Amino acid sequence: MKNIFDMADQNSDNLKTRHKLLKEKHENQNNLDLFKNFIDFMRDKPTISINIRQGVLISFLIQGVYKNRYEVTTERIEELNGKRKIGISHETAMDLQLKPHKKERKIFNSTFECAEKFKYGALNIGGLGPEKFGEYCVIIKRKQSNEYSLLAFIKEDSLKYVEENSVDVERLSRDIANRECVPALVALKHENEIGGIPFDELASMICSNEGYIEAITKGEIKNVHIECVRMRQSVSNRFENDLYKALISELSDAEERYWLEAFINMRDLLHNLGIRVEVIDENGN
Amino acid sequence: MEIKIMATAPNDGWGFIEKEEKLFLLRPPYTTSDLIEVTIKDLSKAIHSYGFEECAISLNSMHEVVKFLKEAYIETKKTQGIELPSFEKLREGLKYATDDVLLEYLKRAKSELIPEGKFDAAESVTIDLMKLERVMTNLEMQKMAIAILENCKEERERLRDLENQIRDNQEETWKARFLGVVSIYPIDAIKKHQKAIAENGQILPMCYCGA
Repeated sequence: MKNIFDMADQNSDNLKTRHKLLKEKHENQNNLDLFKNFIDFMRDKPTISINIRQGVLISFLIQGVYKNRYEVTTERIEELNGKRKIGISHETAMDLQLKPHKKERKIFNSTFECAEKFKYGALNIGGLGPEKFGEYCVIIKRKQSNEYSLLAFIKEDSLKYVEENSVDVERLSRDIANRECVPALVALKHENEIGGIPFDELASMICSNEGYIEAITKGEIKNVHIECVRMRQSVSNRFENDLYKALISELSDAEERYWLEAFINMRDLLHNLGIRVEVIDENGN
Repeated sequence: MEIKIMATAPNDGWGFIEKEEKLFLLRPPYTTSDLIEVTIKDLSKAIHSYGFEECAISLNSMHEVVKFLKEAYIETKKTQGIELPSFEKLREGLKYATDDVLLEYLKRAKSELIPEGKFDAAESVTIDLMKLERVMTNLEMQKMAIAILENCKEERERLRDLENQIRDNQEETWKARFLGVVSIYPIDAIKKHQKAIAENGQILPMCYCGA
C-alpha cells in the first residue's frame, strides 16, 4: 500500500526542476514578470473548497464535521443494525450502494493507505468550483487549510488515474504535489494559458466544472473551518422567487416549499456559525 | 425516447441520467440550464465521493424523470418526518432577502397584484414587509408600502362605488336596452353575474344557451 501524502512530498524535487525549466522558458520569451506574478498569486490566494449539495451542507453544519462517503455509510450501517437487529457488514453495504462503480473505488482505495479516511476537495482561488458535485461551494479558511498536516494536490481528478485493474501510479506520482509545490503544479498544468488569460478569469480556469486540481486530506474538516459559502446568482434568484410566492400564498409545489424551508434552515445555520454567504453572478463577480 | 436514471441523490432531488447515449446531471429546479452534460468518470466520482446512490430506472420522457426526482425528494422529507412547511413559516425567509429584493417585492405588489385585483395578496406582502425594521427605516420602501395600502383601499372603494352605481342603474339599463333578457331572467340573477364580472375583471361575456 502506498502513502499518497508521502508520494506528494517525494514529487517535490521533480516539480521544482520542471518549474525552473518553465521559468527559464518564460524568461527567454520575455514573460518572466507575468510568470512571477502568476506564481505569487498561486502562493498567496489558494485554499481548499468542497462543492456540496444543500442536504449534505445542512448535515455538515449541524454535525460539525464533514463526513466522506465511507463515514456516512458506516454511520448508516450502525443505524440499520441497531434498528433491525441484523448484521450487515460494511463491505456488503458499500457493495450494494456502489455496484459497478465499486471496482474503481476498490482499486483506488486498495492502492493507498487509509484511503477510507480521505476527504476530497479542490484547489480554489475564487469562483464556484465544480458545481456538478454541489451547488454550494464551501471555502475552507486559508489559515486552516495551511494547518491540515496531511494534504495532497493532484493535477486532475484522482479517478482519472484509475485504469482497468490498477492505478497508474507512475503518472500519478508525477502529477501530485504537497502544499509547498502547489504553485508549480498549477503553473505546469496551465503553462500554455499563463499570460494569455486575465487574472480575473484565472479562478474559473483553475477550478470549475471543466477542470480542477483535486485536494485530498486525511485531516478532520469542521464547520468552524469554513470561511464562506458561495452560491450562484440563480440559486439566490430561486430563493427570492419562491419567497415571493410564499408571501402571496401561491407557492403550491411541495418540492419548492420543502426546498425553501431547507434553504432558510441552511441560512440560519450559516448565520449562527458566523459564516459569510457570497452570491456570484453569471460574470463571476 | 427512453431515458435511464443511473444514480440519484434523493435527499436533494439530483439525478444522473442517460439520454440519447449521453450522460447528464439533472438537478432542481430542472430548467434547461440545470441539465449538464457529464462524463462516466463524473458519475463514478459522484457515487464514489458525493453520496449518490446507483440505480437503473427507465422512463419515457424528461417529464417523467423530473416527476420521479421531485417525488423522490418529497418522499425523503416525509420519511424524515418533515411536514410540508406552512406559508407563515416560509415567510421567515424575509430576513435573508436583501433591501433590493424587498423593494422589488413592493414594486411587484404595486404593478402586478393591484392591477390584477389581488388586493388581499398586495396588502399581505406589504404588511409582512412593514414588520421589518429595515423597510420602515428606509424612506423609499416606507413611502411605497403606505402608498400600496392606500391604493388597495382606494381601489376597493372605487369598485364598491362602481358596484353601487351599477346596481342603481342596472334595472333601468336592462329594461331599456335588453327588454328580452329581463323578461326571461330574474333581475337578481343578472345582477349576480354582473357583480361577478365586475369583481373578477372578466372581459368575455358569460354565455347562456337558453331554450
